[in-house]
Amino acid sequence: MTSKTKHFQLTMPALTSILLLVSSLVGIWIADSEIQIFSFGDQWPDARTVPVVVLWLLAAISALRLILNFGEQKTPIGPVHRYGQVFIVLLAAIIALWSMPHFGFLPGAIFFGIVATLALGERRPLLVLGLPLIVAITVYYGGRYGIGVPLP
Amino acid sequence: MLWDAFLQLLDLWIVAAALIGITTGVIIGAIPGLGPTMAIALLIPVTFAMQPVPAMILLLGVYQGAIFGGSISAVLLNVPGTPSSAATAMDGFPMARRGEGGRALRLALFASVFGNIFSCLVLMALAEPLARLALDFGPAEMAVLMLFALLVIVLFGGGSRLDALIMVLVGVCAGIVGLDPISGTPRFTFNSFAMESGFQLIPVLIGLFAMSEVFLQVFNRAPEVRADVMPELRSSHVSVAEMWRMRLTLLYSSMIGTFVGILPGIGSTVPAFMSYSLARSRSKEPETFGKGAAEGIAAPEASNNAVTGGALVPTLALGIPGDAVTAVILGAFMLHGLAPGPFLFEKNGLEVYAIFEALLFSSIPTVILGLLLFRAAIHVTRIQPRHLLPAIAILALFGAFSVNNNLFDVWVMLGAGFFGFLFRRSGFPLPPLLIGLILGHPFEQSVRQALLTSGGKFAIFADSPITLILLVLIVMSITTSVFVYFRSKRSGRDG
Repeated sequence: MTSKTKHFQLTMPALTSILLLVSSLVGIWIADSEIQIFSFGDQWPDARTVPVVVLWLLAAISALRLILNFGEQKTPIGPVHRYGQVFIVLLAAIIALWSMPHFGFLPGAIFFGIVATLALGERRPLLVLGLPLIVAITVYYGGRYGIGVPLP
Repeated sequence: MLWDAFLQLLDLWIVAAALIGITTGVIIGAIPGLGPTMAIALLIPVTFAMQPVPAMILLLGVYQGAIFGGSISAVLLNVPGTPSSAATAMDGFPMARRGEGGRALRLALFASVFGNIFSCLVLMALAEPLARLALDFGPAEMAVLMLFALLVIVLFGGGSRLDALIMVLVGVCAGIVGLDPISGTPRFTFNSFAMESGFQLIPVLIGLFAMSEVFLQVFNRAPEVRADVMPELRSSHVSVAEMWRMRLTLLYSSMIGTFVGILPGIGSTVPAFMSYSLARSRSKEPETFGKGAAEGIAAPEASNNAVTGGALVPTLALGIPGDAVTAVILGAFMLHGLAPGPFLFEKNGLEVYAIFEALLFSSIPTVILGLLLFRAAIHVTRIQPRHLLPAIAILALFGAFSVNNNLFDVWVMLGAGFFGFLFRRSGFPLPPLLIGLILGHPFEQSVRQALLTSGGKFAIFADSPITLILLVLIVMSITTSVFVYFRSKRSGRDG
């Protein structure tokens, strides 16, 4: 006889549902301070009504998703080192964005492009350096002088 | 009006925009993983310096070209370039393996053009009358209409309804950030001036569809496209008589594509499979389906291309996007000063009809370029994601910045990209999020305006014949969805 007991396993949908549940509860908690109401008489619904209703709905449905799919093992979280690579690319984008007001679009974009190329598995130096360089220069000069976008 | 609009098209820049758009679309569509949504989102900034008509013709050319381009890798590699081409691969790839790849691609091209022409004619016939009808809509009617649109996305968008509902609500929540639409009160702006404008549509969708793809590919490391898997492409042809024999299949498929396209949130994958199933059930040789049947290629291709015109009907007439691609196109229309909605035809009728006619006539360059680009597209399908995605990442930085020329939008794009990655990894669908983001703000505005005018009485939402019809449609949609759910559950148990 096989046991039908379901065990909770942290899957990606469960993790995302928890994230959404927590975010919506935090949203409800800070709604009063983040949405100031200046009442000029009886004006229902006010600026806070819809956000609070939507956040409650999101919290309730995220919780329902967690309960209904308890024990679901369809989408495991996956290997942690792969998330590490995603976080490295994200961090590179953050550094590139942070540096753009100081050093300009071009160095930031080239740096981000190189990190992304490496994270995607390319190891040939010519492609790792050359590809982001060509694309960033084309986008920078094309955008700045072709379309007239004042890139930093 | 139609003649004046046609005269607007007699401009070298417009012809060039159409040709560049279609060529770019076919090439991008042929690359597995790059869909029209990402392509259009990344190309919007390129059109900033252009006049509205050529800019929209370029972007719609990309849309048309990419839907057909998706069938190239589906037929040759059995890897659909766009999700809607998955149905084409079922017969396209077996036909290509028989050495008839060229014939399969020609069938796909001619069927695509048929679907496109049919849906453009429906678009021209329906969009303006629908917009005129919507001119009589007050806040209550608009609120119920948008509720209906959001409900259809959740109920019939495919996949888990609960996940779709969560994504709609996430989209609505994202739309709340910024100034309140009625009182102008800042909401969840954390005392940041930049956040008072809210999350702009274009940076969010570049993040959701382009940057998230970069993160996803870093995580998944897609396998290399091997050139030896690709069947040889020999010269072949498709006769007019052969297409004529499939006229009813093409017509039914185009009708399915167009009218499913009009419904919000369903996209082009569902009608492509619906048309495939119908073609198989009507066929005298259903056993040939899945083994390289010509109608198995023509039906889904006519259908998924017909979605283009159908999805533009509610997008342009009501400001309600039919799917993710039309949500992006809606954003592009707004950026070029052509605000979709009931007033579009009153204010910019000439421009809109010029765009419609360009869509119709672009069938001619689509056939010519499609035939010319077959062989070039084979090389394109061999491009490795690791060489393409860094370029997409840099273009995403540029695209997000160029919307308002500020770095805040780039941060928003990056955040949307990371959340898009998490949602896609979790199997949550992105189109409902996007449509929730677009409709959330006007939905709240309409609901509150209606309630303020009625003194807080909900009866205003059942006060007019229009709202009553829409409420009946809402009830019918829920009933149908519940029925379909229980029937599929029962058949799953029986099977």
